Amino acid sequence: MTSGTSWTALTAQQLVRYEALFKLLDDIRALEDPLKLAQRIATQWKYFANVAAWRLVVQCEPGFLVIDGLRGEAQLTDVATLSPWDQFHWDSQRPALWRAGSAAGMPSPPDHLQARGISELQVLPVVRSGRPACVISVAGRHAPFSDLDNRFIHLFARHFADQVADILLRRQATEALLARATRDSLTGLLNRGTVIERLSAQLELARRSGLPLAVALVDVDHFKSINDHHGHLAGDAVLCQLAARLQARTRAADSVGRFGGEEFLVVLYPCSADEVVIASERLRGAVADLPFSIDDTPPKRLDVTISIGAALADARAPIDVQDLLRRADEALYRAKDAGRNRVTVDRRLTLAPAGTAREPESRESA
Amino acid sequence: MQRYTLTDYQTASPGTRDVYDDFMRTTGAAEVPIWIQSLGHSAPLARAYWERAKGTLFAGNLPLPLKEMIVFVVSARNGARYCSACHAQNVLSLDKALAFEDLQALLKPGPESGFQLPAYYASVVDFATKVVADANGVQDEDFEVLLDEGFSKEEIGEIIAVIDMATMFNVYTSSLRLDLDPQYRAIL
Repeated sequence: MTSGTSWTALTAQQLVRYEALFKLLDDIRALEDPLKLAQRIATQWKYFANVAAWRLVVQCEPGFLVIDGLRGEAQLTDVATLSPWDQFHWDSQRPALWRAGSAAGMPSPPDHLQARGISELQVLPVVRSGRPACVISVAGRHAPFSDLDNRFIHLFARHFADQVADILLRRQATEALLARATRDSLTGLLNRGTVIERLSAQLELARRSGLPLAVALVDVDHFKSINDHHGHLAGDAVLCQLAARLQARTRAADSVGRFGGEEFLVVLYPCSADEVVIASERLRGAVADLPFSIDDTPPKRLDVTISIGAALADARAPIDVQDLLRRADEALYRAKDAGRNRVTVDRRLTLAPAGTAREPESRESA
Repeated sequence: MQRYTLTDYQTASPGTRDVYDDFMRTTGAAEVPIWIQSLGHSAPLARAYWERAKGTLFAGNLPLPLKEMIVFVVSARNGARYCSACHAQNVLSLDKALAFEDLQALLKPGPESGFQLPAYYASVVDFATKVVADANGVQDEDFEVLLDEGFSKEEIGEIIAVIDMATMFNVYTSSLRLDLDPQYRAIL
């Protein structure tokens, strides 16, 4: 080889590029986190192709995931709607070349793809099973893309897009499986097993922190007669609407689960005796004060009420899950017995001040 | 006068032999170069220098050819006869398209050298030259150039670690005026 020959023109350059590409493929093979994947890739493009900045757009229900790379770093954004550039290329599903200074009938590229020194952009759509899956835009610096650049960009872009799409698919499937295992299929609330698990965990937290925890057992009044008079579909509709109202009126950190056919369990932590009365009364009112709509011909409006039995656990009187649920159940029974559509709180302290005995107390509100 | 002593494998202590063995395993070399043999009298020193080279060159995120090129350029700028010859050899063995004359041309100042590196290589070589000339004088703009090329801050840290390692070896080998190993061809 004589001196003065441009290195990039030499075909043996391919060996350097392939080595860099294989190293990258090896490094990213087992990555399941799209951000780590993107960060790894952001620093490696330059070793096998003249790519200074890039964007990958992939479908990710309910919208899209946009992954941007620039200056050795990567960023992920979930978007509901695509930018004009991305939407244009998603719709066209055709490879495209954009050059700085020429309009080319395309919307303006995103800012990071027009950064310092960028000379041209290549857009590649990726199709999986005959459907649009991803669009990748890559920006070259200093010089136009060479044949070698194009070859390696095509090689890697496909692989990158496939890996991201696969990760998202696996994530979706895992989330669906998890939902199946932990959620009640009718109401979408936590299922019985999961809400009891949550209760155990939060009870343990309460023991360690010394803060009080409360449970509220919620039961639909006269549910059997709703089913008998209006049908099981109406009964299901009531349960779904009730679940939504309970969920809407509890804090994000509290847990709401379907405990039985028409029974629900709410776990409130931290929650004092006074707070559980207020919270339970709020739930009772949310049901009693607004009729439920049943989709029928003609549409019906049903008055529904609930009874609530609440019990407390605090650090002064350690209690296990079963005992706590039993006390809430007993309080619920008293609420039903006293006329329904009311809240009854069971409040006992098993550890009385030294030397005194104390009768079980209960408080009612309606 | 020869300013250094050499410890060959046969006469080396067990600790030194461990270092020699690790070197040969890692690099695939059949023999231990003069620079390590010159440290063989002290197993801890031999270990320290080798680990510095191993952790910098044979680990991390930068491709080895780029690192070898950095060490070559830095060594040449530091006037290190031994290191520049050794790493010229390494660069040539990693990229068969390059010739010895191409590396000589690279060391000539100015664009008339006619030897062009890919853009990101050129920016790394420029940066290395600046760091060697005056580490205190490196500006934020110099970092911005590398960031624009797609190097992350972590990678730039690795680049500096390579530059620094090269300088360390340059000082050591130059002050001792180590003789070149037979397979090295002097470029300075």
